[in-house]
Amino acid sequence: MATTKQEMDSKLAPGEARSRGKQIQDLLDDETVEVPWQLRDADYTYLGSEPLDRNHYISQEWCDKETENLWSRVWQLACFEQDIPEVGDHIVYDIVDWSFIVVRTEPDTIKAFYNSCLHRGRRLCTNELASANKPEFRCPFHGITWNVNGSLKAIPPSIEFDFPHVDKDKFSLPEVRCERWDGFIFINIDDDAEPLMDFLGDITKHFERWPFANRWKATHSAKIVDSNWKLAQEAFMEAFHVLATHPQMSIGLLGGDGSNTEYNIYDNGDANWSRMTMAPPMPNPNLPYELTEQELIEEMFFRGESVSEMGVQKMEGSVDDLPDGITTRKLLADTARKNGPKGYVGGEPTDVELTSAIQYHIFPNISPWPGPIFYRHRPYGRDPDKCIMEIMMMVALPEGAERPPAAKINWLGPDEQFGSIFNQDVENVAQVQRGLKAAKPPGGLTLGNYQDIKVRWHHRLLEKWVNREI
Amino acid sequence: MAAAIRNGYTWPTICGGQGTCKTCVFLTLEGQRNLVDVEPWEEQALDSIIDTLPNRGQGFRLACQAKATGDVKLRKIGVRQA
Repeated sequence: MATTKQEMDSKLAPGEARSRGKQIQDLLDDETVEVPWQLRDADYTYLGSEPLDRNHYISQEWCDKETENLWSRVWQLACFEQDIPEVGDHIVYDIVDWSFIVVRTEPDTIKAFYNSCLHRGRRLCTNELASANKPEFRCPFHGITWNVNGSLKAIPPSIEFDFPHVDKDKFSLPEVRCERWDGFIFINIDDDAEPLMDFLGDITKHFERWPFANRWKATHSAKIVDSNWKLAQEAFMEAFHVLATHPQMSIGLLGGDGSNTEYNIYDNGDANWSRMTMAPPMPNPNLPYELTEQELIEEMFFRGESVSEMGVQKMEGSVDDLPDGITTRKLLADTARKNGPKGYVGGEPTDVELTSAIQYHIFPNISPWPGPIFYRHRPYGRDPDKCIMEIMMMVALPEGAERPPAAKINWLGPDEQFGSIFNQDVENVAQVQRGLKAAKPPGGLTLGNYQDIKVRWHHRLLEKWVNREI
Repeated sequence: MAAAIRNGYTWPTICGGQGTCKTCVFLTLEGQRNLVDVEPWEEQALDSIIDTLPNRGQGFRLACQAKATGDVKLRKIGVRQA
């Protein structure tokens, strides 16, 4: 295995080297409120430095293997409970070749059915990813109709004579496994799969602090992106591309270049979830000399803006009004506190939670944040060169507040953008997809030992699924 | 930036003058004509951080690109005597 010069010089084992400056766990030591155990649960395991096979992104054969061995067997997010609040509300969830109807059959019962008529196989519902209240599923081809609980409702009288062989009590829509956690609705095509909660593991305990059940899906945007689904997703699995790809986020002096992001994988990389935490604004550790907090705050006010979890935000007031000894991090955290942080269970929010971007990932394709951002990335049919990228805002509501209706999916056209930062990622991954094909064979990819650990973790798990080792 | 360093100052930069980090960006106060013209590459780089600069980036240059040919008065936080 390759060893970096830094590792040789310092006699660090591979994967132990870190960027200069304070790490997230150091920042937690400075907190003035109780630090939740979730933030201290910060495992990491070095998983080697072997090249990553570029065929994972560009090969049709690999894409087909994913279909047959991953998507056919893995728990995957279909929608949120709030997408289908009333009995009869349903959505269509498509994944690769499959299509499913997820429907609320009773106030507290949700089922999922194969979206295929039992007569000739036509898709019963075509209103993809849009909730709609409909008391039945009527096939547009010949009119055979099923109740929302999947039982047969009627074969049209004019053609009923031709189906004497059909036992109407048994002619129900086949169900697909459907289980719930914290407002999420997952499906699994594999009847023998482990229970959802076993698959999720300890991430469910982590999110007891930032629950989703009481959040509101305020926005939901989707776009077909010109890259493999994993590439688009990996734009949010490491943060050290921020300096070059998103210079407006790094804001030079204020840090935020992503180099001292903390990465966590669990159970020696076998857990189905992972996490990364981008450091909040603080003296940039990569400057040739350390700036003072006073200089940083002056810079922030000079620019009139600063970075927060959501990107750039305006700073109000004057630098002269600030108390002595305050840090940029504390200043931003206190500003966030004044704006009324919501959704924290089990104690006051820490500065790190208020000023850092904490992103979890659940294998294979969703990324819930303690903050409001939520990502999902799906393959676009069996095309390895395209994917469906979705960004949602899952806003924590104040206690007792009534939840507005969940946002419906908004499909962006080829010329429409998610926003400046996301657009930089979309443009970038499309060029990566092309570049991967342009590489001289075998074209193995050289990952960073630590900063790319989530990418390596994801591919390691993926290989196990594809090879049926899981 | 090179002129400042030659004259005994440090200048904030992460990439060391390669034009990647944009940390060296400064505001020109006087003597704008004593800086070489903005090349398309620098213009593109400044445009990428325009949302984080006051006055939509008016008067800002990258110190790693803006060679000085005479006196320039500028504002840059973090510059110190070496």
